[in-house]
Amino acid sequence: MTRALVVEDVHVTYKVYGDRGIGAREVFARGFKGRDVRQIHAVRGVSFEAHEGESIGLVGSNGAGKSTLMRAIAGLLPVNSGRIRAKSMPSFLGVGAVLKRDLSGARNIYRGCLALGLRKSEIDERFDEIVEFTELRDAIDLPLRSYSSGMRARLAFGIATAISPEILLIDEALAVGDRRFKRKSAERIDEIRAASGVVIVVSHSLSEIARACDRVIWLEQGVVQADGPTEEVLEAYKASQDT
Amino acid sequence: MLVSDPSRAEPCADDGLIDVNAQPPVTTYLREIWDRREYLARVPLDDLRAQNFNTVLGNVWHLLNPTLQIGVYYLVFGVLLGTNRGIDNFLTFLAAGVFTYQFTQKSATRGASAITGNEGLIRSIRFPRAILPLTTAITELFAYLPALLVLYVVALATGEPIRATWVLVPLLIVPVQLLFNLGLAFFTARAADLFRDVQNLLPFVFRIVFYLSGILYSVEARVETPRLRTLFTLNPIYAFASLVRSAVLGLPLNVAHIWSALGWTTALLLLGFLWFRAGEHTYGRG
Repeated sequence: MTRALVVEDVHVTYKVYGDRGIGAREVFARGFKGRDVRQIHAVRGVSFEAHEGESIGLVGSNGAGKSTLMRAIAGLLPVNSGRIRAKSMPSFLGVGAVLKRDLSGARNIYRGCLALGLRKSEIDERFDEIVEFTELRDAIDLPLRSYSSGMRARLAFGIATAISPEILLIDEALAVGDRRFKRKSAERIDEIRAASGVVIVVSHSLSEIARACDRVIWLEQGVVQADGPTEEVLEAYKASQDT
Repeated sequence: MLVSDPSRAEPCADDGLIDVNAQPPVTTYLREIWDRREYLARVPLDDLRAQNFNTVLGNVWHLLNPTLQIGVYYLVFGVLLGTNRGIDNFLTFLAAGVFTYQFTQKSATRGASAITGNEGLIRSIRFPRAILPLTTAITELFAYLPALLVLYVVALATGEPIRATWVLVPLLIVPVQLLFNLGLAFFTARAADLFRDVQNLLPFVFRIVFYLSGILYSVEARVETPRLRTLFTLNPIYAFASLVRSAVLGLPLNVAHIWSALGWTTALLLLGFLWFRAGEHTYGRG
């Protein structure tokens, strides 16, 4: 099997600013120490390889570092050490992938696809196909702020898969869709895998992972707990969650 | 941090895989921007259209806004306060100054939210982030064009003849000022991402610049000390405003203003781009 994605001993740390009071009273009581800046060590030494045609589920408790790891693989968050290599730039799809709330769905499709590096003529060609897939024909000229979360997820999914990515990273985006959309997105995922691509899905819905993935990585506090066939890993994960 | 370690940017010849975190060399970065030129042609116009989306008059505001502004400034400073001493055609003088100033002021102020206001896009799509301040600068260019039209109408209405030098504004001065604004937007975009407070400070900085740039009064008529005049010449916004006024009103060009404008543009664009790019990996983390 050909390797399509290699993650080697990756660490990701990011900074957050705490909401500690910096009013006169606090400063007087404690002395001025500047802002409360904390380092979050979200991913601590993760390694795995993905091969062509694989679909991998990523599970773990809240705050396990799943989203951070996905963003790092997509090249959207820099790694502090370690290395991530891929056969082509991965495409990322998250719930927060809302583009411009004041612009219509159609304008957002163009904006997103142009930012991805597509030519206008290429988007013109695929526009109807994208709209068809997202089932937003009637709402495509309405501003995004009038969309439901499910409609937004469909739009984001349509944009992210418009370039037929070889590596697709899906972060919880399917959770807000209805049954029909889940089925369609599952079909799209199968298409990508059939074209020897790789799909990694983060989800809290274990049934969805069981249906879509043949391998699962279980992450806890930034460390891989288990990596193996879906059934085995999900079994162990469920057991740990129930205690 | 290993992020800037150059050894990581090398492609891995052994298995044909690419490093997703590699910082591309400047030439690749510039080519990636060039590949997205259609984004730069389309998105600024979209943004402008969206600005007046909820108003009855819609896009007419792009013409109405500069016209009303000149009316207000003329009423307050020309009629009530009388700062028009030593200026033959105060209305045209004022319009040229105010529009030139605003072209830069709006690019810098809006540039400050180029990164902070686009986190959704930054967090989901990988693209050269320099696209964002570029978009701001181009948006403000498109917003400036109707104002330029108003300026010519004001000039004609106040009895100026059509001069050959009028073409110098759109053909030479505006393109240079666009690059100047872009350099400035690179700075404010990263500065505001590092310290959000910049967005609150910028309006005050530009208020001071406004009063120090001879927008409302004639520096030639009011500033006599040579050293003080040199300081005004070193102010790029005053230099741009003077160049536009010279071209529209047919006054002799001050060569020192040309050098001031070109010097600032080169320095800001170069340093701004380099500084902005040095932070490429940090955008969207906050």
